[in-house]
Amino acid sequence: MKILDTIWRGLRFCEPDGRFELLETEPGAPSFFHGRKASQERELPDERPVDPRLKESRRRLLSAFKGQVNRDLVLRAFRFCGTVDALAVFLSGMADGDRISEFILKPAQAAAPVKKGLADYALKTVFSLQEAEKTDRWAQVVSAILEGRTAVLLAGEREAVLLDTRGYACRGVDRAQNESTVLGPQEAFHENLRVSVTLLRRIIRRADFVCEFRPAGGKNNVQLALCYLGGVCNEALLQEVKKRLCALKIDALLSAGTVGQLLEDSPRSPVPQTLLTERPDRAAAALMAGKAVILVEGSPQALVLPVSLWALLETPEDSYLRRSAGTVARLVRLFGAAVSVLMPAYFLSLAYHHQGLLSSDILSTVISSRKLVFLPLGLEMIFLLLVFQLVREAGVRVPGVVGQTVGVIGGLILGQAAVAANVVSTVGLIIVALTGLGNFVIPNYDLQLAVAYYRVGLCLLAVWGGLLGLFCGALAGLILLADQKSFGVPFLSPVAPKAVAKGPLLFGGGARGRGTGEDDMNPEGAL
Amino acid sequence: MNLRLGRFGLQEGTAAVAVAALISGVFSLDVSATYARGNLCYAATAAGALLSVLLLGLLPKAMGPEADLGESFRLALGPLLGPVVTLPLILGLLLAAVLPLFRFLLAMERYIFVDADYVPLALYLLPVLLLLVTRGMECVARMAKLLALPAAFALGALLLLAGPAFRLYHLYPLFSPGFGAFCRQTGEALFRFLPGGLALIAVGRGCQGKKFVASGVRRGLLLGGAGATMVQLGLGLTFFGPDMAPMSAPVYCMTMAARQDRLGLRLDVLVLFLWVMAGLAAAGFYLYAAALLLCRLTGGEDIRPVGALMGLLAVSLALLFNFDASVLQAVLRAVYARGSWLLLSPLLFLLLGRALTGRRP
Repeated sequence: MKILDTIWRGLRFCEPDGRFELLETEPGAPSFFHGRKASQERELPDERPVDPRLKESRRRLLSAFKGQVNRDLVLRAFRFCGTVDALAVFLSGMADGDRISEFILKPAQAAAPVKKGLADYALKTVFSLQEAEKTDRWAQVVSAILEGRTAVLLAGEREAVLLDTRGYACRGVDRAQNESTVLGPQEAFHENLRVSVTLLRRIIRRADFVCEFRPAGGKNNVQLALCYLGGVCNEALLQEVKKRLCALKIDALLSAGTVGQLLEDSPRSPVPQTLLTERPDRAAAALMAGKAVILVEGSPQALVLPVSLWALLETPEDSYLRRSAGTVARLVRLFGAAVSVLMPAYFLSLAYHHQGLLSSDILSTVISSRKLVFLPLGLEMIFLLLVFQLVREAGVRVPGVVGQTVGVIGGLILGQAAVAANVVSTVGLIIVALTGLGNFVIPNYDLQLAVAYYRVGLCLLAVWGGLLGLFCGALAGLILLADQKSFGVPFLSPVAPKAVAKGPLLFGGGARGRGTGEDDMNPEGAL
Repeated sequence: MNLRLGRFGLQEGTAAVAVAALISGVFSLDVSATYARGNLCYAATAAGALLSVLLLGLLPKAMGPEADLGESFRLALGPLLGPVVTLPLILGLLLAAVLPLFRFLLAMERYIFVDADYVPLALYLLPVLLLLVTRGMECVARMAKLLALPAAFALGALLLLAGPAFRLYHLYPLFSPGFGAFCRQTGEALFRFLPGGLALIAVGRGCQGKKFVASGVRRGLLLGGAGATMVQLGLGLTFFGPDMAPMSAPVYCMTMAARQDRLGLRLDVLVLFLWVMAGLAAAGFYLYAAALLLCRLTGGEDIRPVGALMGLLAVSLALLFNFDASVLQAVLRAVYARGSWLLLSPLLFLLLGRALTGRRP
């Protein structure tokens, strides 16, 4: 009967669709381009005070942390001084169990009984942890538990005691991976915010070095530290940074890079307006120059702001090189960057519109190398640039040695095969290879990518308009850079506009002059 | 208010005036009329630059404490005559931007993109010019400073490339058209140097005070004037005056005079495009100043539409002057010959008004 029933249902095509489907539940009407415009319901902060009834506190905690299913939340009931019911609340894994047992539970149970001011007594006499505070705000209790601290709630008390028991597993301080240098320190920032701040404090031993800890603004409640030198960093800059930090509203704030993008003056510009560094020495140098640094919990990089184009073209090693070596390194870097931006477009403009500018020897070499290539030159160049980006992306995304292998296979074998198959010419390949090398001497990854996209635009302009198109495109790019600002500081300073630069822009050594702060940062202290 | 004046320093202000004076000094002259009867253009250029420095040296003192050219006209000449006198100044600045663009289009069409029409060439220049003008004076001043180096490189490369073709006898006979012609050419040369200085004075509020403006004008005109004189002297050493008269772009021809390849590459086109870049910066500077004066005159609160309109007008005029219509050519010749009066007459009115009203800082 069951088989017949199944056949009958199949023939009637009335079988219910059992596939899972996630339906829209958000309120508001969707707009044509920008997704759903939900009604803006503001999340009001939890203004409730701490409840003196432990039962109510337990109910609130279980509700807030979904305690019925969330086994990370530990509610350890005990008797404070042997007489008062108490609750130690922490997140398992975020808090150090040994410290809780040794410095909270043991002394609390062994303490002599008192009748009044239990929270005060617990804080001053019983708990022997370094960082401890009282609070009467429930939101602060929840926030502290999320950070890995332990909240002790006492029956009949309108205040909770918050104790620092943070102790989660993390790696040790490691070497800088992306900004490695031969000279200078090798340490890199750490995911743990406290460790990162300590790395900075070890370099800057000044009383006016300030680290303001504050919520980063994401719904995931991570903390960030705004670091600066009081009396050196411009007060107006600090106020602007704080204003922008306060305005941050994002669902998931996972890294310093996200914070940087959200704080920038021109978010649509392809050029970064903040600098991400993993080196504490570089961040410390920026702080000493009057800049601000933002560290984000869980992100092993520091965000330096404001920055100029020249700061993005600096490498950490510049500070440690001698005058002659530093000058040559910077000249080579600038030449590489110029080659990377202009070379393919320049070649295309000469080949398409100004063949007369090339000598007959060069022209005959180009013609002979392209004799059997079927792609038009412009298409060939853009195709090669695209392949180069492909190889590079693949090399970056594939970890370790395999990534290097991808680079070698992509670069050598694919290139050789493409020339042999007459897909591309040797001249085109050489130009793209030189362009790629030039691109790699740009130290900042975001800037490398911006240059790569801009280069393709210049190539198109060069195909259409020759040198006129190339120069107009270059000029338009320069105008946009000249107009751009990073936290009020012109992006091309200290060149345009002129400002007194303490570090070398092109010529000179890494050792800086006396005084505090860079001129374009308008530091508070005397220069 | 969105006048985008911003703040810029002495170096940027000086660079803006210097680049503008250099570009106008080299490219804003009537080639056929100037060189037809001999070559004393280099002397007239130097004299014109010095005379402009002297004339514009008086202006900041005459302006009073307000440090605003439009406001100075209004205060010195009254609310009715003041704005009227500002109009020729705006026209003069607009034409100062048009003339180099016209010459660049002509040179590119004749020597580089031989089969091309003027309009497609102008369509490459227009967006850059609009972008520059609408970004504001801060950006214009920074661009002028950045492009001062390529302009200096273009000047050096021009003289180096043409160097082997220099002959001292090309200057003979010295002062051949006579003193009257020298005076006339000096008067015409004022139209090449006054706009740069006047433009900086017009945007002077952004440049840290009148003292800096005066200094920027003086230094910029001297630097730009020296560069332009060097180019004119180089032209005089390369060609006989009458030989230059039929040339569309003597400066480009100068780089080709001693045909030399460097490392298998010809540099003449590159040098011309460096001039074009500097020329766009200069045109942007003139047009921004003109747009600002017009905004102040009409009470406009946003410079962008006015600046964009000025840019469009400048490129359109540059295109129009490239047509062979006799009316347009007559207008062009009149601009070259009498353009100085567009700028001189408001200045004289201002000085006169100040003297009569007695309002001194």
